[in-house]
Amino acid sequence: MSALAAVFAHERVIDGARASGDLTVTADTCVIGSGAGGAVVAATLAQAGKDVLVVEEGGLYTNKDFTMDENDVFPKLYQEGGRRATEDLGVVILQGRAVGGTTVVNWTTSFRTPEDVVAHWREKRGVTGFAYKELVPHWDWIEERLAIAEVKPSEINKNNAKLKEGLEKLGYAWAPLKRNVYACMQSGYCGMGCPYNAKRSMLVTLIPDAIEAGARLLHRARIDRLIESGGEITAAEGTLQGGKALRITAKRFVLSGGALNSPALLLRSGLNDNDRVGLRTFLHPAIISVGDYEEPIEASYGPPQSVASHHFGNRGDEVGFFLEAAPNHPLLGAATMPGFGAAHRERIVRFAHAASHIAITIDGFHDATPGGRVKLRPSGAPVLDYPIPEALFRTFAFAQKRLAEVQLASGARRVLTTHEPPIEMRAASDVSAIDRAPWRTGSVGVFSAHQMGGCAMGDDPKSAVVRSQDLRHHRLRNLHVIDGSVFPTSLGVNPQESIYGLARLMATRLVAAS
Amino acid sequence: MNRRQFLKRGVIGGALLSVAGLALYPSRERGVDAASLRHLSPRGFAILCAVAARIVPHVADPTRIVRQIDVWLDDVAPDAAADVNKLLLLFDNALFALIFDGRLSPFSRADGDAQDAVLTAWRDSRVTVRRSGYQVLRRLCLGACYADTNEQRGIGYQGPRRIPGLSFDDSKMGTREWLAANTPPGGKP
Repeated sequence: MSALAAVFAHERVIDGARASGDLTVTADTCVIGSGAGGAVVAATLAQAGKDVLVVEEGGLYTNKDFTMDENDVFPKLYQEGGRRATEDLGVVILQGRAVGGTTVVNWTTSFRTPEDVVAHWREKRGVTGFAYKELVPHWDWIEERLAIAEVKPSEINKNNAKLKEGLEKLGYAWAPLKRNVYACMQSGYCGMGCPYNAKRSMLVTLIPDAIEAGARLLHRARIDRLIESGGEITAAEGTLQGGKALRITAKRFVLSGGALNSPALLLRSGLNDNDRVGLRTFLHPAIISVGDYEEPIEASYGPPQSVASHHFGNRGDEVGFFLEAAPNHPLLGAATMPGFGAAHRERIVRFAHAASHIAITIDGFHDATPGGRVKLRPSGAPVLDYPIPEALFRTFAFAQKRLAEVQLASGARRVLTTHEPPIEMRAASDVSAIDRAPWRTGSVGVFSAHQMGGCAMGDDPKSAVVRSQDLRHHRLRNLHVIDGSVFPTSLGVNPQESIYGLARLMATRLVAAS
Repeated sequence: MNRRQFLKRGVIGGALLSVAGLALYPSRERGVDAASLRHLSPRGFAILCAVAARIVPHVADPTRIVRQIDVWLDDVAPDAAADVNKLLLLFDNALFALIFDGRLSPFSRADGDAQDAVLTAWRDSRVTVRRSGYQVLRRLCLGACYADTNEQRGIGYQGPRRIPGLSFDDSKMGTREWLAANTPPGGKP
């Protein structure tokens, strides 16, 4: 018998969609969200003997559901079926929604938070509640639990190899990545849920750990609002899939819905102290360069990301960026490829020969990149107002040129931007055309796979939503926010491990304090 | 002006301005049972079919694409699904087109070359919401087209490389149903 299946078959795992009537639940601690933050908190508290209820809006899907078909999987595993976007539609937002959260669909890249980022938070953002060295043992722990290790050279697929080759030829620094996988079969479908349970996501690690330690998991259950009385949250009210009502009372609430969702719940609950909730939401906005190579690249297969370059991470007064590869599958690949009609068709039939390389911009460290603001639609659903600032467009243009040069250096016979219409380059002398491209919202494809901020941590309640020493709300005594929404800037690296480490540090402090 | 304000003012303003215009230049209708649609209005369905026919002209039947998009709208925020219908009405609005592009015919009634010109005009517009609207319609149609396995094969995608012996289903193991089916009489699974 699969130990994992037995865990999920436990009576402590409750499908909200199958409830026969309205549901009222009581717990010591209610954790809202089951992704990188919520799973770590739930497991840590449950293993310390606490009574924990995890509530997840998405469904409990396992490897049998991960069919490697975008059209089948995206509606199950992504917020808004993978069609979430910023309010002006300028940035496509890829964000998970399932038991395990975005960790189920991320591309497994694992970085610790850079030390200079933590120092920046301390110096510029009033985050004095922990030091970098206090996070280190928690990263050590999570790296062992999730089998985080550096990729082997033999695991680098052609898409990543082309990026590496171009970087080396141009003298740009690069490094192999670490991934949270064990016995990876290199299928290439990390973004659709690992069909082999090789990805050590929260779905197959800390959520089962939490359940085995006694935690309850209620999935397909959305929390609509938190009820406050006397400086505390007294209840959470929500809706089970299918429409039945949900009410949860708990001594402590931990909000772990992630960026966009956590601030949206506070906004729906009227808990917008000092008008800070939702502000400074960051996206690591990314642009794409498509290299068309003579030989097949087959970027659908193999580890999606295995090399990266932070050569341009720090550009002084200009916004920095880092370079990685992105997997290519037909549905998203076709939607990303610019143009329509015959022009689009001529490009997309080169699908198997296309390499996708991305430049991920580092927002939040310059005054010119203050991030976006989470707002509510009339239905109560979140929407992010994130006008792309001019400073980011300048960096996009600079980064697009570097990507084109990298792809041409590694043998691309043609390089395409995702402008409408695209810039097509066949030689290094063509790259300057990028400066004349329409750098404006809606004229170039921009996407985000990293959402951060919106409930910033910091010591000053006028500028932060939660305290930095324990991520407790500045005013509400029994409400903590523990997820990627507390980051006061973006990270400059893929965020999952930063969330794990911070969540475990804070969860151990919660255990110690109770 | 944000997307919602633009759509609201655009649709309301366009409707007020074009009461006569719409009567003279209505959208091309496409026979569809309204009850078979989940989110799109019959008119929106017809307009989107016309758009899809230009985005992916190699597809013989654009209604397959538009029905797929209609299903996808289950997953987006309800307000966003409503916005798609508003966007389509705006896209086809005759007087809106006259004001912006100097033409007095709904998109759905134009010929192929004229329709491509409309798409290009939205693509290159100085108005952000028109450019973004173009991108929404383009991406939806392309995504829905290449969600189809036959279309995927047509661009050289071979599908997942299944690894023999490793594509197992353990998700039901341990459930009462599984235990009942796998427990020998008097024994343990």
